[in-house]
Amino acid sequence: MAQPQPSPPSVSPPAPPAARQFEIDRRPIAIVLLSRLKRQLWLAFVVTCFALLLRVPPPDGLAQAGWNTLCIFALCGTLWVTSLLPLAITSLVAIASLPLFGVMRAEEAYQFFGSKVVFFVLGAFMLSAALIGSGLSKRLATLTVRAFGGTPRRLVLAVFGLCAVASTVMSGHAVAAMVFPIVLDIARAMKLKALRSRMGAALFFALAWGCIIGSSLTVLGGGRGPLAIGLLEEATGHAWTITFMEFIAFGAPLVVLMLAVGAVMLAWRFPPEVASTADAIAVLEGRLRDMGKMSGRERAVALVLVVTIAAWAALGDTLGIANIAILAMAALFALGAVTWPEVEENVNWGVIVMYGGAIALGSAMDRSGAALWLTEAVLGGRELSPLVLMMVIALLSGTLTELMSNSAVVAMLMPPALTLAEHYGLDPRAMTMCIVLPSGFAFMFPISTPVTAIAWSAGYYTPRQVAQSGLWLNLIGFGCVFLLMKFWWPLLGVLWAP
Amino acid sequence: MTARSDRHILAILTPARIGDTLLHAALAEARATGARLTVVYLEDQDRQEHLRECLTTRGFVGAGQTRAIGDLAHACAQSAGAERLAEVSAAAQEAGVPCVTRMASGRFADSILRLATDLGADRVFVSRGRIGPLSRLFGERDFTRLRRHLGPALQLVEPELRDSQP
Repeated sequence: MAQPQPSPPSVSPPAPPAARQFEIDRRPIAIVLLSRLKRQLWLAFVVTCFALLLRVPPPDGLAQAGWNTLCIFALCGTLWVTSLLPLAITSLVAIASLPLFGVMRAEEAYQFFGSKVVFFVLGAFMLSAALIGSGLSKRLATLTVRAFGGTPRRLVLAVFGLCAVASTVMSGHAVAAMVFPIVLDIARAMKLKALRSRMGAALFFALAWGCIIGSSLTVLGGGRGPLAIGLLEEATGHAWTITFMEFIAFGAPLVVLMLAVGAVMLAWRFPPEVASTADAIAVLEGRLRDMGKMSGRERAVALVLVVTIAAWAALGDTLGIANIAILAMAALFALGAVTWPEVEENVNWGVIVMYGGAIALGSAMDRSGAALWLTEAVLGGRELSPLVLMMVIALLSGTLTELMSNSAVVAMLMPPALTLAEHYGLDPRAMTMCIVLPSGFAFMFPISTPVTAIAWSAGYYTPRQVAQSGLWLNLIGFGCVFLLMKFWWPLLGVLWAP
Repeated sequence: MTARSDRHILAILTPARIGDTLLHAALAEARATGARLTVVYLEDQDRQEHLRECLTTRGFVGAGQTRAIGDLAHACAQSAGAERLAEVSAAAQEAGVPCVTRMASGRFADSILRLATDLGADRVFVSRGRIGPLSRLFGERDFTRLRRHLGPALQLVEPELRDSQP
């Protein structure tokens, strides 16, 4: 019998684009149309529901403007949750709907784009762009990992610590994007196999968890903090705010506890199977050699960064954090530390549009009485303990953030939650923090947040591993938030309104 | 050993761990029937699109960084695929099965149907452990489509803990 001769195995490169082929879809035409136009049909359904709701007479105790605001809030909330439209476009819909449905005048609605929070976020993102564009962030990251990554366990902790620390001065998403190639190089140098190496999984989990946890410490860690502060200021007529240092003080114990938990989880769930990090260190040293000496541009960015953070911390109350951010932007350009194309590449302008619209909608909810009516309707005359109420809101925030953008969670929960704070005599800063802190805890799904999506894209762990580890971190995170409310915030005098 | 036949088996590998089981089953059938085996490592384009959408719409990552991350993720998938296919070749050679390996990228069901048509495959091995139990909810449409087009030629390989055949 003739023996089959195995043909030489080959790994071919990706094939060139083939000639266009057609597949005949034999399903009924209605099914084909439904599947092709699914998004548009859902949108039409949502808009129809919105139109029908608008025609319903307002309930007792709520004026027509309040009812219209509530309908717009429901429409935008649905669009934010379902992502049927991009977040920024939904915010534009909100801002255009407010004058269209007689909630506020167009001049009032559009002026929210001039909120100082928007400019603070813009400044923070530009600073981040300068750090990335100059190569300073990459140099610091490489130096840190090389210095502390002597053993496999220490290497994982170095990545974890680096991401956490860097996320306190840059957006966590930008840090993840910046550290990702470095960790990828390390994994390749150590020949860690995708889905089979515990060390590989540990490195990428360290990247994601470090960014998520670290970004909760300061308002620079992401857009959700500034957005929440903007909504707080608008809702309270600028009577209340959270300063740069207050934000750190409120969340610091949580971040410290979560860092400790994260480090233990990494060591417990992913003990490294490799013995040496010599190959990784060699790669990092090669990277540093390629970078050469620190350039004048990197020094300029470092100087502006240090001065800006010091000014935010020391003079934020008097000079205003947005003004400092704008001066920092100007300084970066004056020193030639950043170019406009770099800013365009590294700043997503959608954030500005999203925040302007979210603040306008939040303010309209408060002014029109819609937020008050909504909270009364939800509570239905029940009186909860303030601590239970805050924990419920924290749980809601932490759960919703797994399914939608954390900024959208903040935009949706803040207006009714601040009304509840007023009703219960709670310090609105406490209510703000109990939404902002859990809104960052997107540990459970691979695409909950850009940080987890970036780490997951390397392919070193499965969605199941993300869910298993993430569930533990989420539960422990909620426990830590409860401890903050119960013991830490009263010590700072932040639980009851004076 | 069975004599070589005209049968052609197509096995679709994805980054999922169930790929080992799939490969084992495909090799066993190829060996038993004397069929030729083509193993394709499929980089799911939907995964890339989810990543891009997540970066730009959920977190406002800049365009430059989104592009860079997308390129790196693609490179990761390519290198993981090349590594995996080298192992497949070695396993096929050891089993004495004629085997050709290649990489492909595209939408999951579209790519499989196109490959099956182009290669004239008599049997198509596909795994269904991609997103664990969630696949029952969200990935079912792809498999329904594959079942409809491929009929009995489709062999679904699933984790042993779950039922073996839908």
